[in-house]
Amino acid sequence: MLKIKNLTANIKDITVIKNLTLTVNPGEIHAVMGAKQSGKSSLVHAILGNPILDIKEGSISFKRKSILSKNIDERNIMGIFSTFQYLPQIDGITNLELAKIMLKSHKKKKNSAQFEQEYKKIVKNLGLSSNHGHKIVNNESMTPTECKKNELLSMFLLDPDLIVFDEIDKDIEDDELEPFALEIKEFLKNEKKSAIIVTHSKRFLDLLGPTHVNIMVEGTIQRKGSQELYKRIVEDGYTQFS
Amino acid sequence: MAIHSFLKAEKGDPDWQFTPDDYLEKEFKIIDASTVELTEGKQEFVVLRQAPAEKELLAKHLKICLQNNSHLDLIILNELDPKLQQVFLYDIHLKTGSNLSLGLFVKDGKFNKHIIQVVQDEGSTLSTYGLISNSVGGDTEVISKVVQNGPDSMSNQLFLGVSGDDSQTVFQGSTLVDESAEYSQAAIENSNLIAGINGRCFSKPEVYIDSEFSVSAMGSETNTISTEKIGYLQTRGISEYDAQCIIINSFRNQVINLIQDSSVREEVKEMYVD
Repeated sequence: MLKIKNLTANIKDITVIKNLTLTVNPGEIHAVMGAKQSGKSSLVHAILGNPILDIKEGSISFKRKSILSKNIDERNIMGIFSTFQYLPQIDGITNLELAKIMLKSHKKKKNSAQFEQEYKKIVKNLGLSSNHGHKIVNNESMTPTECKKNELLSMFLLDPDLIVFDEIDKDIEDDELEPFALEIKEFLKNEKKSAIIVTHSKRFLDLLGPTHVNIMVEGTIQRKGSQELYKRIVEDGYTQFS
Repeated sequence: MAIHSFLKAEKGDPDWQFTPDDYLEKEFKIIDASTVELTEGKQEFVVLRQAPAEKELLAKHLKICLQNNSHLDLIILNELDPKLQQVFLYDIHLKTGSNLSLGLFVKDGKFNKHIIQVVQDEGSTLSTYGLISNSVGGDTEVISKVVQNGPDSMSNQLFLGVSGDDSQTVFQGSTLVDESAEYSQAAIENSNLIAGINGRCFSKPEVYIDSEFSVSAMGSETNTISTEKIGYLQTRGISEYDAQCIIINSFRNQVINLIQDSSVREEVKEMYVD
């Protein structure tokens, strides 16, 4: 599904990704871990197509098509969905309005009643309040957990094939993490879906059960392995890989 | 303060501080536009639509007087042709216990200046809000001068500015709570969005409290369109152009949504569609 080959990328003349290769097949859940400044977020930005990155070498393809020339929104429409630790407040627009605009951009035709019904159902399943749709996107009327759940709501509505979670577990209240992770796991049960999960949380990974674990050091994937690998990191840290 | 002092654009005059130099030393010809007067205890909802076509440098004078305990909900919509240059003067007197809600939505023009002078008596309330926008390479300004003369009076000003490519907006809002206006409240809030290349938004909110037991609040901020917000919307499949439009419209809607009447609210939203 996603194939990154020998990728090297800079941000303002500083090389942040060095000769990185990663393949994510349908049905796979890849954990990406690493110390601070190891290049995890840069990898996410490269997959998303953030213009802050200057791609120097290598290729990225999604569903067998090169996406290097595609911008962020085009990649999303192709089926790459991403969500982040920090979510910006969008003043003056409600969650429901944004959801409608998103679906319009994706040309997902649904009549109004159909959409409202689906929206309400997801809101209820995620344990969000019934007035969630009328709240301003990511503003102070929403708790950090609600903001993150709203990301899942978008994910359910858009039904992407590849989901990139960049430290989405941060700021989620402890007792909410398990049901939150279970919603993601349920979505990923579909064997056509795959995910890349950037996190430092063993508990989050325990709940999601990644099929692959990738350790990043100095802009590249230094070690690949199974779930045993992240359990070793929790015990011994990242120094063993440097 | 004589209204005619505004008509000659002179260098050093604080009311013309941010006006482009092209307008200095020019004289504006004043004409009486209209008068709105509410008799004692009366309540009204009025919408004034200004779309002038005169090509000379005109200053249009609008007088508003609210008698004791009257209530006026006034919304002024002003859209000026990109080639036109005009000044609008609002001379407002709020008598004892009266209440004015003034929405002022101004858009475009080569030069489009709105000067609001308000005198408030005892127990009167002024709530003024609006949007100052220019995206045609011109200058749109709102200058407000509120004097609270009576005790227990209250004023609140909320203006947003949006400037497009090579365009300018100005908000200069001042409130003076006079010595005699004890137990009064005054607030000014201004927020601006620079939405275009070489866009400028000037802001100068000022509150002076000369009375005892009065309170004030004031805030101002100016931002450009956040690339972080655009990027976030793009990750939802929304194009960069559409994302910019969403951010600008949602910024405008913060003040447009204060309009109570839904048909006027939709008319104002329509007015600002690019």
